[in-house]
Amino acid sequence: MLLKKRRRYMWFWTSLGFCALLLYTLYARTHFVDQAFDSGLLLIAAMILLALYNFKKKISFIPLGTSKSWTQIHIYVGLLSSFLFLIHISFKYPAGALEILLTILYVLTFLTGIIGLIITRFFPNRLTARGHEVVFENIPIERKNLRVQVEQLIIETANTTESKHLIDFYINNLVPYFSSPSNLIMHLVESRRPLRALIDKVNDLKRYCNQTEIESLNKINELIKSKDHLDYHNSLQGCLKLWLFVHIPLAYAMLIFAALHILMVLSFRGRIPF
Amino acid sequence: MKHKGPPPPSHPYNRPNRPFVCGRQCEGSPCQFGPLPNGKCPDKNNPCQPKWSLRKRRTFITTLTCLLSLAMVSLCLWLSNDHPILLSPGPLSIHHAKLLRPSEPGAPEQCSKCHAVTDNNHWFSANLIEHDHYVDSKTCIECHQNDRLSSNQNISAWLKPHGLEDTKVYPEMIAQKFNKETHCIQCHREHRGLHASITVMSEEQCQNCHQKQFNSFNDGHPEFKIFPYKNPIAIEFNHSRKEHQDMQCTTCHTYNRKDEKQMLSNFQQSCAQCHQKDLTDVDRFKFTVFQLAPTREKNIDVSPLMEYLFSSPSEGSSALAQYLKVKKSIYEMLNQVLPPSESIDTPFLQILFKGCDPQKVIATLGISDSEMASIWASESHQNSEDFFLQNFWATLLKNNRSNSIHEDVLNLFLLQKEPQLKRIYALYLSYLYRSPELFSQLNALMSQNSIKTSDSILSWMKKQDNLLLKNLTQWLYSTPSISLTEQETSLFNEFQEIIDSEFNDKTWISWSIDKFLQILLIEEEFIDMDAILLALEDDDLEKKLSDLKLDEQLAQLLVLRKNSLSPIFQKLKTPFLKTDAPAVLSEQDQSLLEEFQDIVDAKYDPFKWSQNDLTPFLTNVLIEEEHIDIDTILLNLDDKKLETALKDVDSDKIVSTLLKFQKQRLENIFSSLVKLNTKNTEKADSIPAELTDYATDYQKDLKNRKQKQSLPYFFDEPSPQWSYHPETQSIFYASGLHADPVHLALLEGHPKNHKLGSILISQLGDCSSCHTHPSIKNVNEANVWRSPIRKTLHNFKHFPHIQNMSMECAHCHKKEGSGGISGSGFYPIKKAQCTNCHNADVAGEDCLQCHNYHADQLHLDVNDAKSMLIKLGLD
Repeated sequence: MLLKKRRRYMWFWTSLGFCALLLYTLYARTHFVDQAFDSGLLLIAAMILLALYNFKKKISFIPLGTSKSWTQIHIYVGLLSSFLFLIHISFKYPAGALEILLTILYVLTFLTGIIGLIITRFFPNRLTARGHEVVFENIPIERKNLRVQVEQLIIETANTTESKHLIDFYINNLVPYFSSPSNLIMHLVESRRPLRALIDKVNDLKRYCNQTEIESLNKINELIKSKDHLDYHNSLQGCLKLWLFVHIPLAYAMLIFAALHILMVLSFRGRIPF
Repeated sequence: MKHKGPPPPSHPYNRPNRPFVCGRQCEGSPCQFGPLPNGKCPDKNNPCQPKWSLRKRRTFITTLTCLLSLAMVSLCLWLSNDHPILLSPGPLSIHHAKLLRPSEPGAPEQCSKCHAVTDNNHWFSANLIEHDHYVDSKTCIECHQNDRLSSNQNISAWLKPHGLEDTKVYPEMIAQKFNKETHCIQCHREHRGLHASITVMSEEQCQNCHQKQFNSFNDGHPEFKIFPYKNPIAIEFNHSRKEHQDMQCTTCHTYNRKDEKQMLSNFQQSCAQCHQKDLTDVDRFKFTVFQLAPTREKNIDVSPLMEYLFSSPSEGSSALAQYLKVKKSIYEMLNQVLPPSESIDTPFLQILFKGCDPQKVIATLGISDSEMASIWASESHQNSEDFFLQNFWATLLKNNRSNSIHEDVLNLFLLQKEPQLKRIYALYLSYLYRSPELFSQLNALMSQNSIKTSDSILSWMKKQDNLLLKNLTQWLYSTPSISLTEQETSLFNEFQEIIDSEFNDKTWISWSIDKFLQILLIEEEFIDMDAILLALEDDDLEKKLSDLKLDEQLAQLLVLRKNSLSPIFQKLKTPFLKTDAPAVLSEQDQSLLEEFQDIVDAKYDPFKWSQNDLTPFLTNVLIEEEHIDIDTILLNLDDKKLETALKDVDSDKIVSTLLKFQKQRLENIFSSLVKLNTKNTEKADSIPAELTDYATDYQKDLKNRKQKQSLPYFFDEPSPQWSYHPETQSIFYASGLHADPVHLALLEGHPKNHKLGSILISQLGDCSSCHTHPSIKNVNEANVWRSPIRKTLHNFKHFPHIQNMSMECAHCHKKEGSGGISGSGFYPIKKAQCTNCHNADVAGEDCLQCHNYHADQLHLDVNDAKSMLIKLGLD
């Protein structure tokens, strides 16, 4: 409830911010000769504020507010910055090489930020709904344990029944599945098709097996499901960690080129009062 | 859906917050304690290869990205010196782009043509050190400048808000924001694309600077005060005066598509009809050249001086040459009777001998022209501002057009650095343009010295403030645009010769075609009747005249011919009248035009004859003087019309009837004749590209036309009225001419001695009765005699209102009985008169529709563009 109320406030203030920017746009485009400079100042201030979020995390010992608040500020200032950016470029596609590069960098940074916002909002819920929280760094350990369990089961069954069906089946179908992360993209889109396909293979094999082997295959199915569960966590948690590998470098690159852009503007815009 | 599978096995290995993780973690069997902070495995027996954690990898990627970005930025800056396009924010607008495009494919952009600092070493430091962006604005002004202003004036005009000084504008501005000079790029932003407009401003942007803002033209715009009569005019003219009330506005005021102001016609066209006679009032318009003090006992023998004054002027001498002879003789005479310390009685004499070395002037009068030129080039004259001497040299040089002289002058021109001397040489050289042969020689000489003749000299001349050169330039390049057939052209030329040789072309322009023909064809017997008749095409003419008596025949021919001559006549008048050029004349009409011109030139006062219409002209010319070849005329008759008209007419009325028929046809000829023979009031806006062709054409015209009225005044040859009063022992000068050259030369060329100058002005006659404000301070200014085109912030154009809206002058300019604003005789125009149409729904109400930001409009024509290209090194 409290979260909903807080988000309602944030959306209110964000909407207000958008309206203010809209009015500013309408006023500046007709009244300011150099509205690009004014909007550029606001834009760079917003970018610096956005960049401070990452910097703040490194100096968390200094009481500058909670990380949650900073996250919220980062999100909404980032959203508002998109409108500010459009105002800055006058809703036109830029022409200069540097300006085009800056636009591309900003768009990519913004889009990765939006993607990050989406996945950080939805993926945790999905992981919680899936159940069985697992630490991302422990996933390889868990995967290894599952592989060992499957191999032990198969060996025991093979020794008991003196049949090589399961061994062959494991070698041909299950070794790659249990050895490494699988179906990462399909897990992003919540697809169970690879799992069902593999289980169907296992079930298809049962008609050729005796009771002991069938029981072993049932246990193997459970382990397959556990592995699928682990892969699900690997996929979503991996995205949650790796999207910053794109967003943050793009942001820094954008800031560096923006610094050059600011240098050029200050050099050539003339002594125009504002 | 929650998966209910077996719980994952727990493991004591927690997520590390370290830069390194165990190398076996991926295998699923990491060691218990993990790598050391230095990245080494603590297990000495079976060490692994520790790997970077996700955090460290992210840090590495981020750092690498930053380094790559910095490298790209550095590379960009390094390459930008040769390839500025890397840092260009966008393409230039189309005009600048065309002008500044690289000369060769692959060549770098020419950013330095506009930007004062383009080398990245300099613009980078410009950010750290205070950079004077004023320099960039001055770069704009190097091309976008008004040639009528000096360099500093241009800077002031373009870099001050509205080009006005602080006291006039700034109090109404937002003080903190714009209380300094403005820069071009405040409003004109480039690099916005090829088709972007860099001059369009919105109304809100205009109003952003103003403290007092308003919603629209109708709502909040300040009321007009004394528009458009704020600026004083140079001519004292009360429109409400009884004698002026019946005059048509277009009698004096002209307009064209370009001019914003209603331009005044010249004296000859507007005022001479009534006021010419005033100038002959000697008591009002004379000045005393020399007068001895009443107390002086000794009588001075002025006979040598009078010999000079009343002797026949030598061939080629001008008023100034005579004037200088007067000066010489006065000096000699005074030397005989007065010691040097004696005061000279008249201010004129004080000015006469002030500021120049009369000894050298006298000495040089007796030597060759080339030596005179050399002496003028000597150091002693370099600082002299004696306007008379300049004119004198120019006049003498003009009259000595031998090859050796002009070679000497050319060499002197090329070598001369002193501006005044260059003026004279250029002036002299300009006379050479009148002769194609000399011009071609001049071209050859110039080309040897790698100098372009017409462009360099004439563009240089154009930039001078000297009135002499302005007038000369105007004279050189003023040419009427007339389109006649070949036959009409020959007739036209004949008429022009007549006018040139005989008539005072100040007056003939007021003639009507009737009078013109009357005088030409009848009184002066200038028309070749046979030629006229041959120009007629009516095969039945002879038949129709067969039953008429000789007198009647002549009368009929006159009338018939009049119509055919009308276009020619109109053509003659066209250059000087305010009407558009008439239709093209036929060959027959052209020949007649020339004949008529001969007649006018030979005998008549053109100013007077042009005032009459065609009917009396034809009556006098064709009938009374028997100049018309009846056969020729009748050959050109429109049979049916004539037959109908003459059907029931008495014999006495035949002449008038015939004249009516001819009148229409001769109107054009008559008008053209008038126009050609009066001063061309059209402003010379452009310089012909090919001066040679122009010189050739103009030579032909000059031979036949009296263009001397367009010459600088001191090159005119008036009839100076020197008079001597024995009682007062005074010699005074009066010519009866408007803008008498000697008067003007004295007024405008005297040394800047205020005390003497004011006395001189008072002595020179009652010019101020019409000219409002000639004073010692401004008499050297060109605009003291005519109302200047003052820089304003509004760009009202009469043409669309009059031509497109068919508005009458009185619609806006309502006469006020007792003087009106600034003595103009009109009520000021109210804003409500404009808001009827200028609102959002009808004619629009944008600020820039009526207002200019730049008070002086940019003056950039084709030749300026060429010179600009040369300046930029792009030619």
